[in-house]
Amino acid sequence: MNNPFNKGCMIVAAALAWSTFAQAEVVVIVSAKNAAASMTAAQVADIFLGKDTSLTPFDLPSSSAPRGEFYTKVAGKDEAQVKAVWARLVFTGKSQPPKELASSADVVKQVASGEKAIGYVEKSAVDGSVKVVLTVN
Amino acid sequence: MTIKLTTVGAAIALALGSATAGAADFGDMFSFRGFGTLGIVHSSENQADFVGSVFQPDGAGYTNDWDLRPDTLLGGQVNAKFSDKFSAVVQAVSQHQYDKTFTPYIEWANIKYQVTQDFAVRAGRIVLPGFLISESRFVGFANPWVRPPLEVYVLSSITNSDGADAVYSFTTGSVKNTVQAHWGKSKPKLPGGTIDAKSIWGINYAVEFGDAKLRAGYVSDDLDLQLAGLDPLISGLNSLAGALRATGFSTAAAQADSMYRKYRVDETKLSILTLGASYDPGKYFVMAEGAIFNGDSILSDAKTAYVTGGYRIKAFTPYATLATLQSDRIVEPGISTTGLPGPLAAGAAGLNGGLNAALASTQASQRTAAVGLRWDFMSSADLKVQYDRIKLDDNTHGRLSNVQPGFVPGDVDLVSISVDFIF
Repeated sequence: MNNPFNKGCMIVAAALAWSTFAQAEVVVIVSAKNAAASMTAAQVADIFLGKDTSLTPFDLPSSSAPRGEFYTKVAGKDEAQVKAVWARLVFTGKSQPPKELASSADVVKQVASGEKAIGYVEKSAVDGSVKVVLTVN
Repeated sequence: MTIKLTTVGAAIALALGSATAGAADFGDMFSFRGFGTLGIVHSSENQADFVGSVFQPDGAGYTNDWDLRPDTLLGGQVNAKFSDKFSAVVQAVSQHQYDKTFTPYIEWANIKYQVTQDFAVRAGRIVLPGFLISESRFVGFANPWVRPPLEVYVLSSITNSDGADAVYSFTTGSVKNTVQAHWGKSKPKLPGGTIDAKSIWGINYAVEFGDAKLRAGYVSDDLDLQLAGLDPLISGLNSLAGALRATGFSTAAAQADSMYRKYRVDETKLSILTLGASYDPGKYFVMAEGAIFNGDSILSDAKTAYVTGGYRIKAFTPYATLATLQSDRIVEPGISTTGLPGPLAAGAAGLNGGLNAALASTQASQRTAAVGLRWDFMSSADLKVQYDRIKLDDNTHGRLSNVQPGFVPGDVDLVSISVDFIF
């Protein structure tokens, strides 16, 4: 029982569990009043990259961990690439980039109050006022 | 008002400083954003200048060994959203232009009315949409290269027009379609004249599905070219035709007259057919465009294309481009001088030579192979280093300008370094 190999395994398992915990799960949320039950990553990416204007997207601050996670996994683009896409839209007068809100709590509040709003936050920030349509992983 | 490069440099330094601060929003109605490029380019050809557009009188090579002016620019834009239906955009750009200053001019200034979610109309100054990145050609940060391939992008040197357009978008399955029709007029100044575009109309069709985009366009221009170098030649042909007719040389008179009618540039009709495709799944990108230019008068027909691609490795994107431009070569046989008396023969020979020189100068044929590296050192700024090898066909100076008597067509090497930013 007191086998050093088992002990090693436990440490590895604990480390894995910790790293999963550290990288908080990011979810995409819409208003609880929104009819959509779920959305695909491609649909969400189109909205956040300005190709689909049916919903109004809201961003978290540039430096926040969920933002990097969200764009990398949902759109396959890093921060600079996302900015380049928006520069192409903004400087051709086509549309404006998502409004940046200060915190996940603000995004939840904004999305809850607007039927056409969409945002992404850590799963832990979600409450009953909003609906999860996509889990980012 | 004369605005020098140093002023623009100071403005760019300020803008770079504020690149981290981000765009300014004044309430929900107005927002101000900007973009810019601080670039320097070296050309190995010292008997002609490399320029960023036909509107620049001089540049790198003959005038300056290393030149900041061809690529450096600064733009600022105000967006206004008055209601869900009404919005407006005004964009000013400062770059090296015909009078050797950086005096800002208005590139965009229009009001948009969103009739339905799918249909919008705009009136005012609208950027011409012919190519894949025509509308954002000056926003270096949004583009892969130091500058769009000049073989293709200089084909339509007029970038905006004053008029109106209508844009209709519709989705079929997962495919987004956009149709745009536009009409307007424009009168930009060249270093030695003016392009008076009395009518520019066109239609564009774009299809987007996932990471792929296809675009086709057609534009038709009705121009009155006022070129200081060409006007005396054209009026010379007319007066020579008169003199020949008066002295009874009817064959030569008819030749001079038909040349005058063919090459007068006050009713020049051009059209450009464009086709482009891009695919950008994130890890890499590929892009290709081609165009067929249907010329008139001294502007001969041309075909041009480029293909470019890049691969993203974290913040670094190495890229490569191949581009070609082939203009039809027209050699005007000219007025037959056989049997003409001395002064008339000399006049005819002079005009023949002048006209062929003018034709040769507009018939640009060149190929470019370029490699570069983009480094996104900030989320709103990049550094690009690019090497271009331009091969000029015989008897053409290609896209080079300010050509000196000692110029011999051959290979030209360009080295460009630029910093692009948005704020």
